[in-house]
Amino acid sequence: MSTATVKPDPGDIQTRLLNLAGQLPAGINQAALRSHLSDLPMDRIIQCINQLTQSGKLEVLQTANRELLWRLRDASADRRLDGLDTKEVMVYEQLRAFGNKGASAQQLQSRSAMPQREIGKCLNSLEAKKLVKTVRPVGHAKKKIFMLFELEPDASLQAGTFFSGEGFDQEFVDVLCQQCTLYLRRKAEAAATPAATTSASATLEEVQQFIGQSRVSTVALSLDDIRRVLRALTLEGVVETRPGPYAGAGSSCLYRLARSQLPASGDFGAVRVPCVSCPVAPDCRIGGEISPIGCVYLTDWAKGQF
Amino acid sequence: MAVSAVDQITSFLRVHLGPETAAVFLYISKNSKSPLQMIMQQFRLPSEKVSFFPAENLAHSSSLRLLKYFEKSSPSLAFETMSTNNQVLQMVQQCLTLLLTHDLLILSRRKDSAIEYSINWAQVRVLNRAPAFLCLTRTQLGHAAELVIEELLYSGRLGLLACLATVAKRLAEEDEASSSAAAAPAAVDPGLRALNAFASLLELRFIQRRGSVVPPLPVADNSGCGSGGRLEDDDEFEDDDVIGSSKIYRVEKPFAPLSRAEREAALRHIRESLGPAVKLSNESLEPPAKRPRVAAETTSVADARRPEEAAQEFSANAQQLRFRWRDSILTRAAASVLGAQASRVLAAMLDIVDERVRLGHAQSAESEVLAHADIVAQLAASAAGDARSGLDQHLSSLAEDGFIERQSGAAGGQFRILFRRAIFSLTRQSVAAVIRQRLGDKAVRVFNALSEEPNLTQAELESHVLIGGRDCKELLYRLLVDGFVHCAELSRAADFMNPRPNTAYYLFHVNLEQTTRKLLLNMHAYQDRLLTRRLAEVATNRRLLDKRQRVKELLKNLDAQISAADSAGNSDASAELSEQRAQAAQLLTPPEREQLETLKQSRTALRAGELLLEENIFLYELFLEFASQHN
Repeated sequence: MSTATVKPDPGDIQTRLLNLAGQLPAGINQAALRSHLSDLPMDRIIQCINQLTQSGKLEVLQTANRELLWRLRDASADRRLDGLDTKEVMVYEQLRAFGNKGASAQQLQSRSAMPQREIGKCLNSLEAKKLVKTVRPVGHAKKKIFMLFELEPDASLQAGTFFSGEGFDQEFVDVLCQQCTLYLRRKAEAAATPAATTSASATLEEVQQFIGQSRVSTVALSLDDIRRVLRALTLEGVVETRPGPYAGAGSSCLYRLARSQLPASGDFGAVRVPCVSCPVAPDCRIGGEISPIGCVYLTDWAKGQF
Repeated sequence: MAVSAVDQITSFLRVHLGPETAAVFLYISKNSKSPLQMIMQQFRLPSEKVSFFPAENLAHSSSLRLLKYFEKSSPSLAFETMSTNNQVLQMVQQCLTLLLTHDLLILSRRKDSAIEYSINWAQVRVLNRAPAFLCLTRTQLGHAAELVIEELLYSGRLGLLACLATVAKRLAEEDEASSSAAAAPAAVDPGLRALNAFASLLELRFIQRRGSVVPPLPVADNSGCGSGGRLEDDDEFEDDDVIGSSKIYRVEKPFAPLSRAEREAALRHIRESLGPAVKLSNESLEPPAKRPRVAAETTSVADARRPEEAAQEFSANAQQLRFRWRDSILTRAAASVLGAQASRVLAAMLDIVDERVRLGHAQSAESEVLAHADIVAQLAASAAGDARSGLDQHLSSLAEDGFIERQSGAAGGQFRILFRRAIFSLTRQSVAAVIRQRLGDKAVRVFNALSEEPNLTQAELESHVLIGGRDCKELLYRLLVDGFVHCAELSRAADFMNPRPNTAYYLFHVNLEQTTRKLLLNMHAYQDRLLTRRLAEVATNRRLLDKRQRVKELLKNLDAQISAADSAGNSDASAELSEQRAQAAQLLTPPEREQLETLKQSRTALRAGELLLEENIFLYELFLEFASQHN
């Protein structure tokens, strides 16, 4: 809050109020009024405060414990707030404090102690004047979040690249995973020794470029989006990462097809035994209705048909 | 201990050592630390006749059946034919001797100086793992070595001569049956092959020298077959009625190589036992006057089994078999991920570690430091000399994948094998493979995400793994039910007494140790099922198998008669016998042959499955061993 240059006029209540507001840039509360302007009647003070607020020289705020504050309005303050009544200005200032995360009507009510109906009327008025907008957060289609019109919603509210109108787009993510795997497989096959050389690996930028050229996505995918997809593939065991000596901007490792995915790799483990993946294994009992003796899975497996 | 393990051992004992020994084993397994009086109480002559568990049909293995000592029809045990309890005592003592020979008993002394017998479950586990150990030996050292290990595992302890004679005989029979019987005798000398395999096994510590369970016989000093070792503790066992009085010997140098005298005595014995029918190579033999005198026969049970045996015996070294199996798992994992060359480098490093263990260094979660020069020398000495090219790259690859760790870069580098870390990594991959088989690839994403970043909420997990809310929830709950992930509840409300789902955070994490324990139980159950299925198939097709065996014996007899007729020049008889043989060969109808072939395929697949499961069980047990050491 910049300090306004005010000519002191000892006899004028408004001048004294403005001077006091200049001395207290955080704002004047009722206690400050009683202490500094104790010689003046309170009703005259309030009347002057209202006049100054309406003239735009003072603005009214509300603290977290619902105490009213009056402070000097910045000369460069938004002129769009001219013509708003006090309650609308209060709601606007509350939303400014919430920033790009926005606030719901319930949150505004708990902050301002105004009735729900009043808040609703203020929000509708501000929305009509294009000072405030409504945002639907991802995953909560019925919830309304209000924020200042010119602000960009926070990432937590935004749907993101992998979300469509109906929620998380699993099919799109699967296609991206397939394309990344395809690119890395081609690189591995083109390399002389897929298991060992750097030529079988790719940087984040290279993968992003390939995805962009393949036109599987109508929106441009950022490096972070590609990193998330490759991270998911790493967790699945399809891709593995190695520290990259020639890191590009934004990436610090190389990605390549996991060695277990290579055709020359062997198999290890008992997963080939049908009992491991049998859907009725918990119910299988020797001598029971489901029993290994008459098991068709074991019969097919023994014949090599599993 | 899984019920099937007891079943298997009991069946093994019944077949190889008799039903009485199996009954004694079963009793001690249910009543640990049983003194002789209690065992006698069980098997003494009762006022009424009782019959013991049936000898056949392991299709339904259950502890209830095993505990049934009253059956409707069963062959009676030898105990029932005895007229006095003294005879029963002698029989029980013989059974205990046989169990001691197989290291299946642990002796302990009570406060009142009575000797108590308990089952050595570690050895039971070794015997259950015998097929896996045989497969490992065959892979690493060949068929002859496999036969030696088989004889020693299933006999408990054997003398050098008896073991080699049996193995040479089996090799000779196999050579005769196979097409290579026409090969030059020097190349297929079964005796020499058996002896060389035995010497290799002793050198690599797969087998070890052991003292005899019974007192050594008075043999000639120039026997050249080794001594029986020294008496460990002369005052330990004094009561003559207790098996412990047989004085178990300990050998000072259990891995001492075969002496020249032992080798010569062995070859001589093999020649005598196999006879002139099998051609053997001419090793240098001493004049007949210098042959060792045969030990006098006694009425002791052990001596009756091996009348010409020296006092020192040999047995399989289970600990070395386990270490070699562990090394085999690591090298195969390295081969599948990094290629054959890197696998050979790792194998060379493991050989260096094994050699140092032989010299007295202890096994631990990490090996000692291995110098680059040592690895180069080991590769040069082994058949993997071509792996030296690109050695540094292979070592870097092994280090990246967590098999080894570079300690320093001086003089080419110093390295350490990380057993614990490698086993942990393999276990996690194995668990992930099980999850992939059961629940799919996306479930593996969830599992790995929680392994790397524990204590995530469902919402956080969804953004990590890029799986939609509904699918992620379903996968998460299925993993939770199957015990692959675990959940911790963190209440948001101040009221901790009445937690509700909407007032608590649910944090998911992976506890690999707990998951592995559960999977271990499952693997045992799966193995039990495969074994049950295999035995059931044999039982179902018993009639057909018996018929095939009879036809085989009949054909063998006819072949012998045909050979004899041909030798005698009797062509008419030979023709008639050949015709009989052709008719006999038709006794098995084509559908029966097809059924036998299907049965063989099925049994092979089931055995292979049991071996795969056994390998996984071994891996999980190694992991839990390391995990418990860490805790």
